[in-house]
Amino acid sequence: MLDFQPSTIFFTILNLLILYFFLRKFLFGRVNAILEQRAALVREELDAAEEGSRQAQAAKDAYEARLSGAREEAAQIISEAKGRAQAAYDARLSQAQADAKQVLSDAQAQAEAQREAVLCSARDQVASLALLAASKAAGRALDGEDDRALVSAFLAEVGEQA
Amino acid sequence: MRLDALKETLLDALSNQTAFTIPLLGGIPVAESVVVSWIILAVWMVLALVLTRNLRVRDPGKVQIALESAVSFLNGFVKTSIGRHWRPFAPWLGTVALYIAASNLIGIFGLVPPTKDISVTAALALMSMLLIYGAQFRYRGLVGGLRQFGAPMALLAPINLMEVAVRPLALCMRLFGNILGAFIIMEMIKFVAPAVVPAVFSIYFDLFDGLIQTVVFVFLTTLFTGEGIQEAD
Repeated sequence: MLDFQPSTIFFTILNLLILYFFLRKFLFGRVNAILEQRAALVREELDAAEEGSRQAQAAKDAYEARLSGAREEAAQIISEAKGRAQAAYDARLSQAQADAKQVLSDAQAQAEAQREAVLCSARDQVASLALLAASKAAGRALDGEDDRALVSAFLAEVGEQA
Repeated sequence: MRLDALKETLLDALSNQTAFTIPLLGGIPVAESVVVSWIILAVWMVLALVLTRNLRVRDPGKVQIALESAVSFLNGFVKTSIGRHWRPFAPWLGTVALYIAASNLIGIFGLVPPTKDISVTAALALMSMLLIYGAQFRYRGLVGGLRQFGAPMALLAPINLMEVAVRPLALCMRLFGNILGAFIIMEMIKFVAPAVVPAVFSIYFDLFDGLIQTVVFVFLTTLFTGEGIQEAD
């Protein structure tokens, strides 16, 4: 039972070494190679993914910067346009107001002139009538320039008093 | 009469048969255990070749995943036990584990387990001893390796030196004793109740005990190796 047999020990060691070299090459070697390749692949892909995400982030930042620039520009354009429109509106409005004032003042001036003219002609006629009446009363024609000026002065005096 | 037959069976179980003799140098006996070992070798070699036929880095199959998990487990175990220099030890320890496991479990298929032969376990223990102390001197150098016998204190040097012999002896005897004991018990059970019952006990004595002894042997070898070379840097 407890007999150590040198030949068996030798054969067993031989067997173990043969199995060891065989399995190291064809089992552990192959599987470990695959495991290492996979680890390398995973590392590579992780690196690539990180790189990609970093690039995407950079692109996103750039886009955002550009977008906010565009938004600012748009706001500026809009405010400029608004300002311009406001200015145009104000100009047009003041123009219209000025026009209206002009028209009004023109109309007033015209009305004043007409009224003046009417008044003048009325005064002339009254003067003529007064002259006529006075000439009738005086028995002579008061149609000299002096008479006319006299009557006018009189009438002006009367008008001022009236 | 029956007792005589039982005694005969047991004695038969205890002895190691010689399968054949090589007619060289006055006849080299080749034990049955060696022949069974050759069968185990052949099986493992064929399995290794078949299983590693189509390994792929991407999209591995189920078999490859199982294989990778097993090898990763072995690597992880050896790495935690031995440390930085684990790499060269893993294949050897894996080989020993596969060989012992197959040897212990082959009783299920009706073959004589090679580990029931003390010469086989002695060879295994001898290789473990070479591994443990070879690694100690390989990674610590001659002086460092010798100094390791005085660790953790010089007082323990005699015990450490004794362990050079005790460790392989214990490894050898533990494996041999367990497998022989299980084998004898199984023979007795087969003698007493030839049907069904042996199958039930075989689950414990052949399967469970066989695997436990495999783990114990490999675990202790790894542990001792790690002890010899750890903190060597």
